[in-house]
Amino acid sequence: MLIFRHSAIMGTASVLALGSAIGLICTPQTASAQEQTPTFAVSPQPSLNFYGLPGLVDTPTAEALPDGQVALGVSHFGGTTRTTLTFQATPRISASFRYVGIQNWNSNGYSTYRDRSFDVRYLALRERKYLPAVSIGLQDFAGTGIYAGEYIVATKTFETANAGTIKLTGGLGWGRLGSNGSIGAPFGVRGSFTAGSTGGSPSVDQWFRGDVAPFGGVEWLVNDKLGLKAEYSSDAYLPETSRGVFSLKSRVNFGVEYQYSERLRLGGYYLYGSEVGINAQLQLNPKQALTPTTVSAPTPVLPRPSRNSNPAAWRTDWANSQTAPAQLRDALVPALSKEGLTLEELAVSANSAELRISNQRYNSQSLAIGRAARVLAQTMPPSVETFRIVTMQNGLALSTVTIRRSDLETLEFVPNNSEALLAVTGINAASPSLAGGVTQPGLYPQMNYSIGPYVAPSYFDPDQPVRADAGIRAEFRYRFAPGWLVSGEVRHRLGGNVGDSTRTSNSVLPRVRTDGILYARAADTTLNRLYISRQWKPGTNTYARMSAGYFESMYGGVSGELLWKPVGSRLALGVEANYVKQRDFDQRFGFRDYSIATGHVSAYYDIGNGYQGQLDVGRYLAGDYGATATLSREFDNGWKVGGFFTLTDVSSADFGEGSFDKGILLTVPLNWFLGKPSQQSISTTIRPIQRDGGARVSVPGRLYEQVRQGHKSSIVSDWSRVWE
Amino acid sequence: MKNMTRLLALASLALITACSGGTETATGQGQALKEALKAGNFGKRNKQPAPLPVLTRDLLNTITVSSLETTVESTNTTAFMIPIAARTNSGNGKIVVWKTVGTENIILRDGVLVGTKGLGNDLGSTDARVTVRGLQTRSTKTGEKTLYIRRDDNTIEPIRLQCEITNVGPESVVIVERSYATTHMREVCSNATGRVVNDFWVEGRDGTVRKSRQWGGPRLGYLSFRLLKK
Repeated sequence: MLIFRHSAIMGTASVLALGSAIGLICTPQTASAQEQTPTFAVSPQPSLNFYGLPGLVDTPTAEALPDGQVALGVSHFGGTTRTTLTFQATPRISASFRYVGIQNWNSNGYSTYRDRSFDVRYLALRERKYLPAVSIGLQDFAGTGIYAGEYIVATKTFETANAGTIKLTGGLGWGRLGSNGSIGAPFGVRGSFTAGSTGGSPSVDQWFRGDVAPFGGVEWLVNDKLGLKAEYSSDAYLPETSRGVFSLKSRVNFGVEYQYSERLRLGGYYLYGSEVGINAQLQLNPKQALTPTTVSAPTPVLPRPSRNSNPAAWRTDWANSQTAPAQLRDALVPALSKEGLTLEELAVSANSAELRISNQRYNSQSLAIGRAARVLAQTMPPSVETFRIVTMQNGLALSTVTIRRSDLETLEFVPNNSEALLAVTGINAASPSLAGGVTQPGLYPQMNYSIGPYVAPSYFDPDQPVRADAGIRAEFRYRFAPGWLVSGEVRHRLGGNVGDSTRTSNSVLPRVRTDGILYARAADTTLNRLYISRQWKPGTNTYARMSAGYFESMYGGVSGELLWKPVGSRLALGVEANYVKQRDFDQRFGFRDYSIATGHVSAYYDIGNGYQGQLDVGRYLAGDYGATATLSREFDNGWKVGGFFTLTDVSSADFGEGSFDKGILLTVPLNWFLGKPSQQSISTTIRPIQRDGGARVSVPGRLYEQVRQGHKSSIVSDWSRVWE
Repeated sequence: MKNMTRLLALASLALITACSGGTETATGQGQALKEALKAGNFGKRNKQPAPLPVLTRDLLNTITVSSLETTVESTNTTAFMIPIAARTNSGNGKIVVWKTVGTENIILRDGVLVGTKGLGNDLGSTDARVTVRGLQTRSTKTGEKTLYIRRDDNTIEPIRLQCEITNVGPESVVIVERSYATTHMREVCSNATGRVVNDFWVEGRDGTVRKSRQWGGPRLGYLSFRLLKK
């Protein structure tokens, strides 16, 4: 008897029999009265102002959002609509991106003025028993400046016995926030915005200069749902009132807010003695899923019989059999497949087994490793004590997780079982290939394809802020051997208005990215990608990739990449070199006559606590030399929020509006919404404006993200799921 | 406008026809949307519970295996479970893993809830030594109880509670036409954020927990159990 299988106390058949005997599951019962049960640690969620930051009506308070919070505020009054995305990047620092439209502007060549702005805010002092919270903020610190303003603000919360909560706020504002009721200019004259400037750079010469004015107000949270606000604003709205957008008759604003749901708060307001306003505040926290992920329960580990009670089961002579590995593999394949795992390779000896798997179901590698370990525990002969589980990513062996079977048996039900197991688990490098292993016959070639709709949006056209094309796409991924991939995508546009834009490129640089409108106009049926690539491990800690073909809608060529990343290292270094040619606007097989050698040397650093830094230095698509700095925060469940900027030897004037390339990165895992296992996520890069300086080719299958997710810090970060 | 209508119609058609093949996770917005639609009303599961048969002693007599009735109060759902694994090697008390016909597990240590799997908002593991000792001796015990729960960001949040378990006195419990002589044990646990009350009805001879109502965490809430068949 080679294959060892424990018999459970009862099999599934018995469960089904019981089910059919007495009918199963689910009947409503009346819930009994509940008292206040213990809760998870929660941070208070402050309400937002018209700028989408914690505040009163139009002015800020000193409160910070809960750590990691993502807030989206949409407000409208007096012809002004502001849409603001705020991210509480650390417990003290928040960053905001805002898009504003002001109707009836009728000057500077716009009937409706549209602009983008960035804010940062720092919580300098947390609220104490007798001391208020104090925050310092920079508003529109790097834009073309109509919202430019700075403030220092204090807020104190008072809990009353039976009249709710009262929050008092007072602050001093500069710039726009010092334009009404000024009490002097303590720090000198404020630099002014230069007409015709491209904007986009920090306006340090303006910060906290010029007139300063006090502002403040009160928020009364009557109960969990209802809030009332009154404030004194120090903003004179000079740009708006001088153009007749609205008339300002008072400095006092009032509001009523209602917490519609845990995440959505709605408000109605009366502002500046003349205008009615509305504000919708949506707050999400990556730490709290819309739907908590539920995975089906695993089969429990079933302990081996003791060596004394059943010495025969512990014999090791099975390992001498030539066919043992293949027989064990054949037993493992269906059991792993049930868990969404694919056996890539298996090697066994009398007391250890190395299993190489790829995970197609879970976005947590630790969950996949935990399931694989339990499948091994059900299948391997009792003498096999050491399990080495290697996670594979398209032919790359990422890491070896070593678990002792006796630890699995002992720790499954102990308190804090995942910490306990981690303490005795090894996470080490994986050799590029497995000596003496058996593979799964018929694993290659693999063909994957999908057909479905697509939407390709385009943002921030001054004539129409959101444009989109939509249609049908078909894509395939053909893997004919480990590490090899042939992949392509064809799109057929059914409609849309991206190509309707009249704002074609005015760039003085080679038009490497600003011809998007011409690409959108040229053809309905396009070949978006078609390429071949191979990735492999030249050594234990090195990874390599070669690709050739049409990489993206605008470029095709050849690309090579080499990455050094030890399993437990925070630092990774990479180099990528590409020779690419610009594709024809119709995105078929032809090329335009612009080609360039472009590439980067990259350093990646895992700062800790989920913060990731990246620096890429090299040559960009327009032939400019420079560097891109990226800082992002990744939550253990796959949420990622980050920002980047690129400085190259292109001057601000040549770059055009915005002065240099910058943007925001956002990734949300699909299972956060759906509550069931999925590896899909929604990713987007928002750039205030796309120009030609600091632009990079988008090569599919870059190595770092593929490799990192199977390395030590990533596995440890979601080890809490190993027993799920 | 006409253009938009046409676009919407075609997009809907494209969505309906969205398909994929192969073992890998499909990519693309169509698949994402389809997944979302399949998940239906975003996790409000069990909206149409199947009717549960009326339990009778005759019906229970036809069952040959142990069975446990579990009710999750927050979702108003009840399921019947059978044991699929038992273990005595770790810590005090005997671990029994109970399973529904679906994919949910309840883990009890001598009748004390120490874990759930597949329910959503699951209880990862529990240090419930004080409860187990109290039930075994049917005497007053005090101590700390810790529930380890994975949050949505994949961090473990321990919920530490100060508990006291006391003997309320003898009570008879009726479960499907049969009366059991039990001792009512009550455990009151609290921390700065709230308070929970767990009730156990323990049979005299061997300390079997015949009936209980236990708290499984802030989101899971209270679960109640009736041991239909030992």
